Amino acid sequence: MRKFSILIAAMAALVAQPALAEIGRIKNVTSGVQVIRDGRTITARSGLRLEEGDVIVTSRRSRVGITMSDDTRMAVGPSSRVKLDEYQYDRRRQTGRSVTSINRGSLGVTSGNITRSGRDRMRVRTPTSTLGVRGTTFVVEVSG
Amino acid sequence: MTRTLLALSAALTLSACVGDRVTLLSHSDGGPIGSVAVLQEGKEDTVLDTENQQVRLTRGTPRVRQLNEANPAHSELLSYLPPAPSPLGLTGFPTGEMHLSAEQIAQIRAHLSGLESRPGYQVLIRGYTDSEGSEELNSQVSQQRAEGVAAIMREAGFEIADEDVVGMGEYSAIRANGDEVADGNYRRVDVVIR
Repeated sequence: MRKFSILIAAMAALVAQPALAEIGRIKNVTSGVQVIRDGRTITARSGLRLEEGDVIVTSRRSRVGITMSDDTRMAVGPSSRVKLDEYQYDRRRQTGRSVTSINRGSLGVTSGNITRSGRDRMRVRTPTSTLGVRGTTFVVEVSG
Repeated sequence: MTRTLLALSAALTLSACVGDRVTLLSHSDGGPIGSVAVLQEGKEDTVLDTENQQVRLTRGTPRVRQLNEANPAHSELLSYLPPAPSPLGLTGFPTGEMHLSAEQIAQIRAHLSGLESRPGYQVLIRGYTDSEGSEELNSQVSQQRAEGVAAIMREAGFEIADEDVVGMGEYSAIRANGDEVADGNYRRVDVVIR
């Protein structure tokens, strides 16, 4: 058992916490959803790893569900354009900050751990306003 | 057919919305309602803190109103939220040893049996410690705990990605109990389906 513990300790030392580019994942998704990353268009699929700066675009009849690394969950409705502008999250301390913007369409959110980091650490921007999220479920609609 | 028509109707309602707005709803997991604030530089925040409260978002002063009932289009949109992460907590680890009982292995198997019904699922192994001892040591021990459970689960046939095995350290225990408090509930590993 002691050898096993030493082996695990050695493995743990080797497995440093990598700087992850992943900030969330696409879960449930219909056809007609695209992710724009650095000017490239990626067809969304279940399990696709999202990165800071990604733009999620849905067509007239499509929708997508996303779970972020802090367990924030989002539902993006039809004819929407949502950008994951900024996202920083410390997985161990479970603290961070995020900014998401919606230019058109609808976005449903149940907030996760980031909102417990401090007041208004999660923000959602619309073309006219900035929202501070303080731990809750809400829907934002933007006519675009 | 009815569901498709309902979804289409809800989608049309949302796409034809009359201006930008935010609506506070009951918590999707049954938790407290919380709040959302419209932040305005140099002015007092406009805060929504009651279920079905709605604010019209304009460049001027936000206008708040109370809806009598939930908008079906909002419920339809929220039905597309992914399910909440589901943790299975494993406790009772003797100090310095890593062992899972047959009962715990069976619990893990039962916990992970519905994976296929969750699109894009991810299995996370999170190790924790209580708040006794140094931050550095506890980070190391929590990582060892997570790695130990992941190794046993991999031997039992489960696929666990390296980056999904995380030592969470003592931070949760400190938030709950303060520093330097022994608590067996935090000498644990969570197997989380997300």
